[in-house]
Amino acid sequence: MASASMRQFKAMLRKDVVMELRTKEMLMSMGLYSLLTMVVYFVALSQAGAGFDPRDIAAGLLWLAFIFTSMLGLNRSLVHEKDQGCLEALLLSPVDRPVIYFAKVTGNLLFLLIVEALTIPVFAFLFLQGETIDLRTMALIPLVLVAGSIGIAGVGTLLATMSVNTSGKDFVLAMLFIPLIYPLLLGAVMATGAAIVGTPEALGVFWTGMAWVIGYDVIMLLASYGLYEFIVGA
Amino acid sequence: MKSSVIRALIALVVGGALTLAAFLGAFFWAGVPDFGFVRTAQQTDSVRYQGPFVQDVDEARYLRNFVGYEADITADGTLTEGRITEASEDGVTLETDAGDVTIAAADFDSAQVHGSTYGRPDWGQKIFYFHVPVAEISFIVFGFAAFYSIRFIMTRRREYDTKARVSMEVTLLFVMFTMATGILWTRAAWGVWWMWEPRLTTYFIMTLLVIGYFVLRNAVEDEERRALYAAAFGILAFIDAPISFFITRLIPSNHPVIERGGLEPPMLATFIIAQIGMILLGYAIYQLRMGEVLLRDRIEHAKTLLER
Amino acid sequence: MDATLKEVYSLVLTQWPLVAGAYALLWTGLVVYVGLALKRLSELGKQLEVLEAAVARRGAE
Repeated sequence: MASASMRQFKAMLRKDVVMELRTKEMLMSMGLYSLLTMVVYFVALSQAGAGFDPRDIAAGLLWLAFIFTSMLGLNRSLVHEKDQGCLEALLLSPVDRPVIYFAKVTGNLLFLLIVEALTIPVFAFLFLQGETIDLRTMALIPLVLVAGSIGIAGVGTLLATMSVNTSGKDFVLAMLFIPLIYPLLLGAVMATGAAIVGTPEALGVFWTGMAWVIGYDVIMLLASYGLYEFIVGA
Repeated sequence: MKSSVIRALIALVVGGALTLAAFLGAFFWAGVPDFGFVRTAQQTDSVRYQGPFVQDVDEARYLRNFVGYEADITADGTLTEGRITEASEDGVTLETDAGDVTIAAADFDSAQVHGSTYGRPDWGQKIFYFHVPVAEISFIVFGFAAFYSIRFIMTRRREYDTKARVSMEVTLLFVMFTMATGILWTRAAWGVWWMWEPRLTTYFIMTLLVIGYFVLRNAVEDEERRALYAAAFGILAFIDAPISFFITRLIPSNHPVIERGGLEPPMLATFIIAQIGMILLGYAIYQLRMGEVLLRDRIEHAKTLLER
Repeated sequence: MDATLKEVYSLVLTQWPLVAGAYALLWTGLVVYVGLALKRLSELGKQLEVLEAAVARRGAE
């Protein structure tokens, strides 16, 4: 039974990946969107003056970019499913609803992580040149990225499943998603900021932030997993 | 239908009377706590008098801050007692029983200044008697909304969706009251209109979640789907309520926390009456809105009967 | 008022508009909301009476 679920999970994930490789639509739009965000950041910071240390707000800027990019991606991924009638076909097939949920979450997580991994070097190249950065603590950032993205994909997939069936899809998604994701965002920015600052005291802050993010992931994934079954069939 | 309206009216009258009683109690019975203190040269009144104020001063120039105060000044080994009438960099003039005495700064050794301390009354604390009960009701009714959402998902009965929706409306009303009174209290107590402080932030997020619930409801056409989505979001949104409630006890926060035994009996009694009154008012508003929804249902039913 | 007491009560003097504002907002909000709800309720009640009378008349015919 478990192996059958596993097979179904893999098949659904492969479908998402193959479709993405063929059209490259989600990665392209999310990547370019995050690049555009960097331009907006440059304009926003252009009057900041010489005494300004970009490392202080780097974590916040990064997660801001991730949040908006992820909303774009989540919306797209579910709109696709709906427009092509894929979700309805899946619901008719004998597949467990949780499997659908986890396949969708994993797909979104994958694309989100790829875009994040591409955004960080670009951000560092554009804003952090010449700043002293401790590479050893920076190595902790992938941890926050993965933990934070799991929460974003988990909650976001559930909310996007709802919002694609509403009038005013993207606004509804933003209205539901941003307040709900707030605790995770706070923890993630805390941890990322601590990793960028990189002093020994900052390491304690890093793990506090991580605990926050992981706790949020556990609670919200359980709740979303429980609720998805009711939402997807509606 | 009728019974729910009658219950609502009873709760409205009793709750209104208790709230009014608490309002009077807050202003005419409960005392005003102190918020910091004021030093004065002498005791003019016993109201809010906290006790004598004594300050040792070791440099003459500091006495400029204490013109009008009684002082014992030691200069060149001799003690002079009197009221400071003038003080500058150069010296200090005292009014003593034996006439005015001027002491040069060069001769000054030390001084002891005497005055009175008065408590500054914190009138803004009056907001507490209603701000806290209103906030509590918002949490309680939010809990009911989440409970009815869970019941709806389990049973799929339309009445639970209606109950969840009406509870959420009452939550929105009380959240707005909490925000309004809270912002004014923030200004009174902290001197700013808003502060990104853990309790305020999480409560603000809760406000957004409740608004988001109605945005979601309005954006879904299909009735059954709307009910399911709203129920799911209501449950997810409720996760923020305990966070907001307990956060002041978990991480350092400016927001005051009521401690056991922290209130004098008249204050505590007023607070409890206000709480009971507000709970009844919240219940009354919920029942009124429920009665209205049921009336609308019956009107729809009568209309379909007539159209046949 | 004595200068000392004025200083003592300065917080009261600066805080009263805020306290009054908080209570005014709360009370007017409650009264208006409940009043509107009651008004809607009575209007709906009248509407229902008319409709149900019409239904009863049709049933009798």
